[in-house]
Amino acid sequence: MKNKGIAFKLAVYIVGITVVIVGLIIWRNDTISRTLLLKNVEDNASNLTRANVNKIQGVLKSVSKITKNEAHVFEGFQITTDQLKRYIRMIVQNNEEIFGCCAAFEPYGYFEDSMYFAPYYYKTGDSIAYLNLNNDDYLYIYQDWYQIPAVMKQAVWSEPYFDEGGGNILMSTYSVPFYKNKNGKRVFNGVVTADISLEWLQKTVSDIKIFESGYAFLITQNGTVVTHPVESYVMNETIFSIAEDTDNPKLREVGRAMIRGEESFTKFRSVVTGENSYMFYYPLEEIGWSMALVFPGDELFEDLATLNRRLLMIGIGGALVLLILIVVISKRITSPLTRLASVTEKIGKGNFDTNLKVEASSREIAQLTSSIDVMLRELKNYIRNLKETTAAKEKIESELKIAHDIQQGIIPKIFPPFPERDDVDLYATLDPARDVGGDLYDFFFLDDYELCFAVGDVSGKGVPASLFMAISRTLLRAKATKGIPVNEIVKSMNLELCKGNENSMFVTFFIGLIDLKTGAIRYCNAGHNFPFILRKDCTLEALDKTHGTPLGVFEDIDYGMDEVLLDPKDSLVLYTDGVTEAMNTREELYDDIRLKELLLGYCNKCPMDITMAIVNSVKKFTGEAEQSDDITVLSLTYFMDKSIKSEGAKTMKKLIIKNNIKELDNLNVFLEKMQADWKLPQKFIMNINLVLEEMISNIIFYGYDDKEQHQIEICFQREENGLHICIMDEAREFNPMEAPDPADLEKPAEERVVGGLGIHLMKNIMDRIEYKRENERNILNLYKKI
Amino acid sequence: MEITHQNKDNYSIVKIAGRLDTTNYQELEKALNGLLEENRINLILNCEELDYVSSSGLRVFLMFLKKVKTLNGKFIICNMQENIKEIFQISGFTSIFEIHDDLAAAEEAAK
Repeated sequence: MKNKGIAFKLAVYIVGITVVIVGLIIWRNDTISRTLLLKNVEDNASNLTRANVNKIQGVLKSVSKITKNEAHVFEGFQITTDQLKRYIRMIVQNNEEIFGCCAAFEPYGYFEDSMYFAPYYYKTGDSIAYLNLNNDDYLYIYQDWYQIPAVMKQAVWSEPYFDEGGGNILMSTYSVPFYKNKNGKRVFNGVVTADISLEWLQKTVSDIKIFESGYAFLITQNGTVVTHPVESYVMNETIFSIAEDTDNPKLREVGRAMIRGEESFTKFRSVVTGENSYMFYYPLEEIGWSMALVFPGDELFEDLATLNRRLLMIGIGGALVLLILIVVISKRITSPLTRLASVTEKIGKGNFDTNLKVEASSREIAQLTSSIDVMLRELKNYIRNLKETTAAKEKIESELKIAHDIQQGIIPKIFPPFPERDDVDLYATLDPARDVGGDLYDFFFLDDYELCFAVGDVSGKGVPASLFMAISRTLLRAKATKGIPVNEIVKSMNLELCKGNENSMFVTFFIGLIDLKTGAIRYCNAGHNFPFILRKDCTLEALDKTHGTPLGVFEDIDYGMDEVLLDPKDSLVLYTDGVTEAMNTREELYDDIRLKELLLGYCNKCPMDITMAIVNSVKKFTGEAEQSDDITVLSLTYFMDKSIKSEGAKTMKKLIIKNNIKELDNLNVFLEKMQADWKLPQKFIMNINLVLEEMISNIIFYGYDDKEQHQIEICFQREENGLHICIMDEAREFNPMEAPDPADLEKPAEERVVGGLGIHLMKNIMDRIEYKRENERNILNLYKKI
Repeated sequence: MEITHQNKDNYSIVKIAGRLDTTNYQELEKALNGLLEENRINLILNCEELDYVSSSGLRVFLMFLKKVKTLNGKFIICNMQENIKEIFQISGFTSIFEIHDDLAAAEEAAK
């Protein structure tokens, strides 16, 4: 049903309900009509039956009255034989309904010399015949009509019988006893009888016409069928024997009620037609018989059935018309919808040039069509715009990528930046929030012992901020020259940045100049976060002085400056608010309390350790949250022991690289410089390069279980006839000396394993190899003679 | 590193210049695969300007030697610098590769 069309649904619902309503009407009409009809039939049947019964009873009553009078005459008066005969003949002649009449005397009751005397007159043809019933063939005193009233001493109607030797017809006889006085006693002297012809009765009853197949029948007090349309029943069967033969218990019940003289209107199965019929029966009290009228059910309700059939035809016809109407109307409504659906499907597949000409059959369809038309046009526009903006966006993204590369290119990124110096170590990182950021750091020597370092944070993010950052950094390089006080550098930078700064951008800025001979730092803070000094005794100091507003805000500002002294092994940590204002998913800030706690755990660590610890800690804190600002950290550690440093600078070098394969480029640059500094042979340094590449790529590719940043430290010591190298890393324990050497060097190419060569090369190139594991670090000491 | 190649009748000369190491060995792999796909199975590697090779580079050589051999092709190396030769020696590669001192000899061998 769910997937059927509107036409089908409407048809099922409307036609279904209509059919039910029509059905209910027909059923109700039928029920009421039947009840009314039955009531009417019952009344008619009652009237008809009573009328017929009364008619028959009238006849019977007159017969019985005449007969009783006759008996009185014979009892009260002494009449002659002639008079008697004449009298009987007269009765038969004058009473149409009486077939015959007889006065039957007791033996010797009339003539003292003659035993039997029973003069009988009866109708035969148009004349009246006489018969004395005292012949040998017909001994009247043994007949029922004589015996029963004699015994019962009252007038009785006999059962119907064929009067063999008498009237010779089917008759019923009414017998009235009469008496005479003998010795003062009333003595039975014979019966007077009147016969009625059942032929007459049968004719009367069968004249009753009820519809086509209705009929009437008569039964005696014994149930004998007197009249019935089935002639074989008459006088041969009783109502009970018929009930038995036709297995009709209802008929038996009805028969009993009829014999009891009851009247009723009842339903029963006709023995003639076998159809359901209705019967009304009524007693003939005079004679003790009962008459029944049978109404055939189907004929009785034929009109009703015809009416119902017509109603049904009208109902079906109406439903069909309704069905056709619904289908036609629904099709008219839905066919544009179907076409619209196929059109929109084409649109959905991206065919926007689809013709939307759909003939609208109604206002709603027209509305829908125009809506889809509008949608189509909007969609076309939208897609065109989307293509344009996507192209523009792609262009911007590629330009942003270039901007990012340029920005990353202008800040120093090779660490350690001054490998030849042992009086200072420095490490810095800038992690932009978007592709290009507004943070900056820089450091450079003004002369052999004065290092300038700075950190800044431009307001805003993205391309504008990065442009401003680039300007600031260029200005710093231009303005910071030997001999100019740090606050003057800041002042002149500020003046330049304020010029033409129409967008009111500004940069918070911290700049320090450290004198590496003394460890004294002169610094100027233009609205930047306070840096921390991490002393070697694990105490923390904030440089909480501000010397003016950020750069680019007010043109005519004189900035101040302060001085602080670093002791050997003290570290200075600079950062931007990307660290302290980093936010996690619960919108909590990283803030400087966490920063301070972290720093206290990193005293006496190298700048790279400190820097990476801060960055990793912030990343861990923010977790899934999006990085909202650039994160910049710059750490610097001061060492004063210059005698060792200057000495060491000649014979020792150190390189720290991260666990990224791209860092191998830094190694190459470093080794090229070392070759020049220490005047090493080209082939020698190439072999060293090869060994270091093999070992370090091994560490980077296979050494770490996590994806965090790690560092690998490589120390070089120039000895008179050779070079000592030490590689230290936090990677998983790995002793290259225990690694299996590819033993198949002599095998043909097909059998050679691709791999395992690196360690083999190292073992063959280096002259001495020592490995140890200390404090969860791998320490690999290598030596090669020159 | 720069890789150039020159197609001759039935062989190709691949010239590698600069450093071949862990950071860029895939470029050589790609270039050689490209040639094999064009069904150029006789290869001469001109190492005249190859300054440096690490084990990653050696692995590429070995891999393609195997590939070419299964295709019945030739993989010839020529013009190696002294230091590279030494690395080949240490690795035991000299015995399994066909190595010539100059390009002319290599081309003669490739014909």
